[in-house]
Amino acid sequence: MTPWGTRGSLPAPGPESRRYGGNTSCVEVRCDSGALLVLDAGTGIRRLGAALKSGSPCENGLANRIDILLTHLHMDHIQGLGFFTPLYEPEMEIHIWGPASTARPLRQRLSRYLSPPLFPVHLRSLPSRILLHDVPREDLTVGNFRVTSAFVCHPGATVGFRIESPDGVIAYLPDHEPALGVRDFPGDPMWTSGYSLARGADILIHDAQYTAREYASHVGWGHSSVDQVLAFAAMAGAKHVVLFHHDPVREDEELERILAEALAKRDGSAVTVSVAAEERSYRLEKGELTVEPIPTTV
Amino acid sequence: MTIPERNSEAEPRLNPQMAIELILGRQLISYLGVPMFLVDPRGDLLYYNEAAEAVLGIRFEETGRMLREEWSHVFSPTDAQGNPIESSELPLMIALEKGRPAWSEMYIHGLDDSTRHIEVIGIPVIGLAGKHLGGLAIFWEVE
Repeated sequence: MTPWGTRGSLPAPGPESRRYGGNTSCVEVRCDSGALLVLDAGTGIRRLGAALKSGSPCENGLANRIDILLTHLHMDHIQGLGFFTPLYEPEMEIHIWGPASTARPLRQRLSRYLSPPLFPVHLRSLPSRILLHDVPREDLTVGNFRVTSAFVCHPGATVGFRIESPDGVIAYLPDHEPALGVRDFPGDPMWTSGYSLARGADILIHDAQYTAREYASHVGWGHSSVDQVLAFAAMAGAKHVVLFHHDPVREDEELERILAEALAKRDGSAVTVSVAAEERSYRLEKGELTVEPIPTTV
Repeated sequence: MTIPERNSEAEPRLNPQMAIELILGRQLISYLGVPMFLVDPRGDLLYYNEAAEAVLGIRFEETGRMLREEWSHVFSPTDAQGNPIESSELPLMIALEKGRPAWSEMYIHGLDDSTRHIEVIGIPVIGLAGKHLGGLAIFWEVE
């Protein structure tokens, strides 16, 4: 698993975000069977597309298939879609999975962005073969991945994903406020948003946009504080938490300070923590996690 | 009138987490002063709020979750002539079965031994994926 965009809300390029990156949400997930999943299509997907160009994206008969899983259609999660080069390759088959709506189909909602005047090319005009699927109406099995989804607490229709493979489980909840309206968070798991997705995950990639102090003035905005994420992870029995969806104003040094504070607050919990950084890879083999160092060239 | 024992059968059946629509529904009604009642797709009681406790005559913490057959019997709904109302004729059950709101007037006998004249609206809870997730009843005492 490799994040290509870790930021929330708005891209935040600049010298102050060089270490953790300034692109918005996008995560690459691969398995040995050759399947490639792309979680969200924020601005980070552009560089992922370029990286795929330089090497075969997949093997074992899945070389021409990519599955893009959109948690929701907020701009920071779809802005890079039109810049993903495989969409312009006629031999590619791109499956786009996004949250269902009773009002309008996914294609129509996505086309509001991928059409003039917001974008010069219509979704229907892209050369690749694009297939759209509603979640959670459909589950996805591709290669060794089994993906389930569920609606979670975030304004608008938003889903989270749980990706299971023989090597382990990744839960992806980039925009999530499970503490909203809960008097003593975390409470009963049965009444906690996202619990079934995160339960026992080897890697939990979770929204950690705010500090506890910032959260107090952002209740209902759909995001979590670092403290809440750690409490949620402990309740769900997740093994490793990747703090994700960094606030655009957050500088590298602040992220490191927040991580240090989070580690100090773990209170004997077995949950380990890291901060999502662009192109830092996480490898899961038979439940064993290896977290690579942050590349110095980002 | 006896207080029903907490029913383990009505406790979660292999479902580790409720759908987000029901979680948010419960959170919303727990913050409202209008009596409200939340059920799952089968009609089993999931939760009622403090305002509803005053009408039903018992705290939710005392009843816990209840099976449909149980709560529809415990609160003894009757019409103006005192005839029992079948569970399938309750607005909440109509909402669940037909997937549309339903309304009616009735009398209930609360667990505080008081009979109250109430009006009830039952509303189906249907998620964005079109899934029927349960129902919500809003009720109030008739002056």
